Amino acid sequence: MADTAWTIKPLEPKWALSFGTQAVGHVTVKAVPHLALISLAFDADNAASVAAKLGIKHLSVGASQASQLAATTPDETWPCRFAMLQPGQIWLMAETAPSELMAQAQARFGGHSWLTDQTDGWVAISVLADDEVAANAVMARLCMLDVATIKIDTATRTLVAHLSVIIIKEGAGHYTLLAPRSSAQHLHHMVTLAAQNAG
Amino acid sequence: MTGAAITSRRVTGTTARTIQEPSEHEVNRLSPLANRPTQLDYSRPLQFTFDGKAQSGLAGDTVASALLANGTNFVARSFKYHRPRGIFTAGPEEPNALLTIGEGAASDPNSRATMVELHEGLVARSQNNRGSLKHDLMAANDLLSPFLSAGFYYKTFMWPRAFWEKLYEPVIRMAAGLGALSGEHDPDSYDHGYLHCDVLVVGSGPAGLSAALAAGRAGARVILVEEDFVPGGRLNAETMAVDDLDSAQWAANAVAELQTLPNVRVMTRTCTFGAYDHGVYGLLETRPSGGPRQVLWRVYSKRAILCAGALERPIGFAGNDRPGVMLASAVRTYANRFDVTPGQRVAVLTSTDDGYRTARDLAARGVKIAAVLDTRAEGSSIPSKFEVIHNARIDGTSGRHGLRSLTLANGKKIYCDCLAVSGGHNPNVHLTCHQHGRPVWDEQISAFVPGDTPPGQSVAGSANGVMTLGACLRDGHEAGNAAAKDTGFDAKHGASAHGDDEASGLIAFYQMPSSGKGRAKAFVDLQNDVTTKDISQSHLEGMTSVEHLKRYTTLGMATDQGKTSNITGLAVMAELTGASIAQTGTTMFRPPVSPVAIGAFAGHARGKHFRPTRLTPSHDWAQEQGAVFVETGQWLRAQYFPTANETHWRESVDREVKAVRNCVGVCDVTTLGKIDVQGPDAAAFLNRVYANGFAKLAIGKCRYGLMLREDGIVMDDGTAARMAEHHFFVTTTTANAGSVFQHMEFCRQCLWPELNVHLVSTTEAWAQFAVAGPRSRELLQRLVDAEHDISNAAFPFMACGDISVCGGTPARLFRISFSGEMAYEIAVPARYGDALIRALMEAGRDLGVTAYGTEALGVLRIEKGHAAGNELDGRTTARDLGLGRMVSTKEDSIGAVLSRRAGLSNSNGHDLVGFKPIDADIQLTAGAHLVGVGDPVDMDHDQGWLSSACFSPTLGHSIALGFLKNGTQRMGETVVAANPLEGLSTQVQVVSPHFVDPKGERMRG
Repeated sequence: MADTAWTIKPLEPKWALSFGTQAVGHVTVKAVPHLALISLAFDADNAASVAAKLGIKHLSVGASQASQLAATTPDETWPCRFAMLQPGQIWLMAETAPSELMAQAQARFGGHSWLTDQTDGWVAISVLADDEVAANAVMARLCMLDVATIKIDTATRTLVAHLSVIIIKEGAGHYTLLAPRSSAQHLHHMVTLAAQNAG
Repeated sequence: MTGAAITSRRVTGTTARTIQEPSEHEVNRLSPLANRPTQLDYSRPLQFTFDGKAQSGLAGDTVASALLANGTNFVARSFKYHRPRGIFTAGPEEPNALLTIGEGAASDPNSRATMVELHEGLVARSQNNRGSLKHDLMAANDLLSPFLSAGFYYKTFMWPRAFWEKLYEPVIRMAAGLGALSGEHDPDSYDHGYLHCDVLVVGSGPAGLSAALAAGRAGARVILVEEDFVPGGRLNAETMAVDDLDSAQWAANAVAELQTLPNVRVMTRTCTFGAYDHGVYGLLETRPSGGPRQVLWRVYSKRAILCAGALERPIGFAGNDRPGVMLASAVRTYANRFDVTPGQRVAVLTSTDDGYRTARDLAARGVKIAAVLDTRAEGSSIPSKFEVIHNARIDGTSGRHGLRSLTLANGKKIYCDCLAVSGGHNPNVHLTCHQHGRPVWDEQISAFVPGDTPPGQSVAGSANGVMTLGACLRDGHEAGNAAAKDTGFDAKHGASAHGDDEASGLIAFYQMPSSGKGRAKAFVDLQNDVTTKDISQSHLEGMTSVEHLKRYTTLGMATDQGKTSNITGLAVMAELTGASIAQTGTTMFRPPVSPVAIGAFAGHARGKHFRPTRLTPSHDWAQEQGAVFVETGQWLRAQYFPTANETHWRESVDREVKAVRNCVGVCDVTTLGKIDVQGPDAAAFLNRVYANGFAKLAIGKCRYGLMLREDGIVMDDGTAARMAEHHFFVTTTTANAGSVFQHMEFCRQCLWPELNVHLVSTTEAWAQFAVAGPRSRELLQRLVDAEHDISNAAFPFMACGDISVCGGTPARLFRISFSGEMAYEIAVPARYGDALIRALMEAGRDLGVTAYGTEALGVLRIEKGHAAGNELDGRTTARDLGLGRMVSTKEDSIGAVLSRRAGLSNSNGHDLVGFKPIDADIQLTAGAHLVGVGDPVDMDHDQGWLSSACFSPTLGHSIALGFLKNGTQRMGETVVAANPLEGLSTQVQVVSPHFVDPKGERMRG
C-alpha cells in the first residue's frame, strides 16, 4: 500500500437515471433516482400486524398508499408509500436514504418479517400531468392497462416495452413506473417516446 | 361541361363561404352544392404531381378525386396483361388505382389513390409499367394473353427444367407484381398503443353514427372508428335527407355531438384491420402529420358493433376494365362529396334503382347522361328524364386509354367517357369471419350476410344486409342501445334518426352473356386480371371447389382481397356448375382487412430498441476502455478489452487470461442471477431444490449447488452463501437467472406452501465483480475497510460475509473461484458499481490489474474444467459431469430419484473429460463428434462430442471439454474429433478436464 499513489476515497453513487425532470409533449417525465425501496415479506399470521403498522385495516394485493408507518414511540410516525404486489409481500418506498428506510422498517417490522433492500434493483420514472387525459394518453402507448379506470393508490405489474414493470397510480395524472435497473435507459427512451408521440 | 358547370364561386347556404376559382387543371371540377356542407376547402388549393406532371386539387380531396378533377383517369397498368386501368371506386375496395406515393426511402407503394388524402407537394407515380404509363413496353403481354391464362405457370415453361429457376421465374416475377419497395430503410416512425372501451363501433356511416350516438348518450365508453379522413361514410356521398337535414349535414352534426361527449372517442383515418378473441380488435391509425406515421392500436372492447357498410359490385361484360368504367356509387361520391365528375358524358349500367340515383345526381349537377342501361325488363321507381334502355346488354367497349363508346348487343353505339356500373351491394362481412364466422347467403339481396358472430360482436346497417338509409339508422340505433345495455348503461336516450327507406328493385345480374363476337375480355377480378374465361377454364380443368378456384386463378387475392370481385366470381362459377351461389359457398377472410405496413407491426421496436438492452453497472466504464461488447441474452457484456497495439481478439483474450493466471484480473459478473432466500425454512427449502445439502452449511460459508430437473437432468448450477441462520444468498448462471427464480417460486408457492420461506430476486440490486488471480487478495485488501480481515486464515476458500469497502460502503464478499485461481466475488449496491470498478482498477494499477471480459472468462473456466452452459445443455446428468456423488441419497430433492434411473446412472455413459490435440497446432472446435481412430464418421460409431473448446494461452495449444463414452476410464487414449460440417478431423488425446491446477491449490492459497 505504502508504495502506491492510490488513496482510499469513498465510492460515489451513480444512479441509473440522471436526466432529472423533462417536459415532453403534454406531460412531465421525471426520474426518481433517490427512491429507497425495501421489500417486506411476512407470514400470513402476521398480516394483520403488518397492516396495523401501516395504518390500514387490511392488506390487499394491488393496494398502494401513501402511509404513515406506525410510531415506534408515541409521537414518531414516518411517512412512506407502500405497495402490495403479491400475497405475503409488500414494498416500502420513500425518497430518502436506503439505510434510513431500512432502519425505520427494521424498527417496526424486524423480527416478524423479512426485509430486503431493493433500492438498487429498480429505477423509478414518473409520468405527471395536470390533465389526467394527457397522462393516460401516454400510458395507453406504454401498457395494456385500462389506466382510466384504475383507482388512485393502485399498484400493478404489467408489460411495458417488453419489460416487467410495476405501475403505481399515485394520483390523477400521476403514474410511477418501476423497472429493473439494468433496463433504465430502454425504459426512459420508451417513456419519453410515448410522451412525444402522444403529445 | 366543366367550364359551364363551374360557374358560381360563391354559394348561399347556411354559412356563406368564399370560394376561389379552381386551377385550370381541374377541368372536371363541378360547382359546389348549395345548402350542403362541402368537405373541400376551396380556400386551400394544393399542388401535386402524377408521373411528374403538375396537377392541382383542394384540401379535402383524395388523390383519386383530385386526379379525376384534373381529367386524369388512366392511372395504372394491370397486374398481368398491363392493360390500361382507371380509378374504379371511391373507397378502400379500389382494385386498380394503386400508386406509389412519395419519393425515395419514404415512398409507399400500392397506395390506394381513393384513400390517400391529398396534401401540398404530394408526389404520386404509376407503377408496374416499363417506359411511360401510356407506352408501357410490357403491354405486349396482352397480346400473349392466350398463353397466360389461369394457372399458366403450372403447365407452361416446363422445359428445359433448369430454365425455371434461372430464366422463367425471374422473368415472370419481373413482369408481374405491382409496386416496388424502395429497398431503403423506412424513415418514418410507427407506434403501438392500447385502448379500452365498452362499445367499439366500426364505421361511421348511418348505422355507425346511430350506434355511437345511442351508446354514447347512454354513457358507455365508445370508440367510433372510421377509415376515411372524414366521418360520415355514405352520408357524405348521397343527397338524401336525415331528420330533414341534408345527410352530410346530419353526419357533421352527429360527429360534432359525439366529440362533445367525454366518454366518446372518434378516430378517423383508422382502419379496423382485424377482429380477435375476447373482444380484441386491431386498428391502424394513420396520422396526417407530426409524430409517428401510423399507430397500431389494440382495442379491448366489451361489445363491438360492426357497421362497415356494403360495397357495390360490378357487372361482367366484354371490355369492362377500360378507364372510365366505374362503380355507380363511386361516380356519385365523386360528384356529391368532391364536386368532381369522372366524365363529361356519363352512361349508367344498372340492375337496381341505385344506378338511377347516380344518373339523377349527376344530371342535377349539369353532367350529360348518355343513357341508363337497365339490365332489368322494367324500369325504376325513380323518375328519370334521360334515355333508358331496358334489358340492356353490352357487347363491347372502345377507347385505347379511356372509354369512348359502348356497343350494345343490338349493335347500337353509345358514346360516353364514363360508365357507372351498379350490380347491387355486398355487405362487408370481412371482420365477422376472422374468428371462423361463416357468411350465409341472403337471396333477397343476392349477397352474403354475416352468419353467427362471436360473443360480444354484432353487426348493424348495410354490413348486416340492411340496405336502406332509414333501416340502417334504426338498426344502428338499436345495436347501440343493446350494447350500452349489455355493458350496464341505461339505454333509453332519444329515438333513432329518421331517413327514407329507398327502393332497391334489385334483380341480380352478374355478367353479360357472351355474344361470341370479338376477343374482348370480361374481367371479374380487376386487380389480378382474372376474366370470366379464366373461371370457365379452371372449371374445365377440375377446379370445382371455390378454394381451388381462388388459388388456381388468383381470384380474390392481393391487396384488395377480392372486395369487388368475389361475388361475381362465385356467380360465374355457380353458373358453370349449375349450383346456386349459396351451394358454391365463399372463401374465408383473414386479417388484415386492408394492407398493414410491416413497420406498423414493428412499431417502436426497431433498431437499438428492438428489444430491451440490459446494461451492467460498469457499462459506461467499459465503454470508456474501448471494450468490445457481446449480447448475452438481453445483457450487453464486455467481451474483451483490446489495447492500442492489439489487432486480433485472440491477442486481447490471451493477455487477459495470462493476467489472471499471473497477476490479478477483474470481471463484471453482475449478470449472474441472485436470489435472497430468507425465512426459518430457508435451509430446508434449499435442501429440496438443490441436489446437495445446505442445512449444515455454516454461517459465513458458500457451497456449490447443483440443481436438477424433475427428470434428473441437470438444470443449473451456482452457489449458495449462508449470510445468517435464516438468510441465504443464491447465485445462478446468467442464462438461467429468470427460469431458476421462476422454478424456485413455483416450488415455494405450489409444492411446499407449508415452508416458511421468502424469495426475492436481487440480480439487479448488486453490482458484482470477480477479482481473480494470485494478487487478488492484495488488491482487495486495499479497498476493504480495515475492520474486515480477509486473510486466508480469516477468510478462506468458500468463505462469505457482509463487509464494507472504501470507508463504509456496504458490500458482500465471497471467496469463490470460476477461474481456478485465488479469487473473490465482491458485490456492492448497484449504484456503487461504477465507482467500485474504477477504484479496483486504480488501486491495482501497480499490481498489473487487468479487466477481462466474457471470452477470457470462458477460457479460464475451460482450463479449469468447470462446466457451463455448453455442458449443461439439458441432456447431461450429474454423473456425466463427474458430480454424481453430490446428489444426496439421504435427503430427497427434486430430481434425485429419477437421476438414479438405470439409464442415467449407467457407468457406461458419457463422462466429462478433457481433450488436447495430438498436433498442437490444430485448433479444436466445439460441436465436433468423437469416433475411434479408423472408424467411419457416422452415428453408428459416435462416441461423444466436444462441448467447449478454446486456445489455452496458459498451455500454448488448443484444449477442449467434451463428453466421451466411458471417458474417465480412457485417459491417455487417442480418438478422432470429427467436424464434417467444417471439413475438420483431427486426433485428440483424452485427458483430465482440469488442465490447470487439478489439485485446486491455487484457489485455496
